[in-house]
Amino acid sequence: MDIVGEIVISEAMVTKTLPNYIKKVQGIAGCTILGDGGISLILDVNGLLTR
Amino acid sequence: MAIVDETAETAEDTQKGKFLTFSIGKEAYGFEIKYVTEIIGIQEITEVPELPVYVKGIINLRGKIIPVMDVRLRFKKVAIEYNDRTCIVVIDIHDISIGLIVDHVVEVLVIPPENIVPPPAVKTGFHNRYIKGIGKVDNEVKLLLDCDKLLNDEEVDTLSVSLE
Repeated sequence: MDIVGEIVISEAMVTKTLPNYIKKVQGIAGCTILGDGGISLILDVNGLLTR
Repeated sequence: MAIVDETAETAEDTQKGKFLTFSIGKEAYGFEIKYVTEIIGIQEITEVPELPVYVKGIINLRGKIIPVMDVRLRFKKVAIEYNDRTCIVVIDIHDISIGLIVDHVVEVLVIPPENIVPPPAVKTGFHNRYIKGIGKVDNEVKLLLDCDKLLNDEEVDTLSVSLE
């Protein structure tokens, strides 16, 4: 089974953890700051499947 | 050395009894100023799934990721559209930085301890859970919030437990 159909753009990024206050949301590995200052959440595919 | 100590003490003293007041709906609330690190305008919030409704998501504060909570929703009030008066008050408490979304920030007030009374003993709703005291300023009352309780609530605890 394909988990990912097609990779549109791949980019190297620094992963940051989510603030402690939010605690761990299963399926989200962390987040990263995009070039324009926006935030992108990083999915934890493993966590998504086992939840 | 003695001079350094003195300035540190002065900083503490100048913050004593000062409250940042803000409004949500018709009510005026206040925080102790020592918790407040900055006030910013509303900005783009990235939603994070599986959080209580009042935690709106996370924001990028100059490279630091901090969660933001909508105080209006925290108090189970009706949500309103954010506008140019909506502010995010960034507070720092026990090494946790968090942004609190409020309708608008009013002013910094000095409320002497003798003008602060404990909240009424009747156990009704959130007022007793989150309110540390009631400050009397002229003819108005300011509800002084307990930042600690606002952040650390059994609801949040249940959430983290259920995810484990």
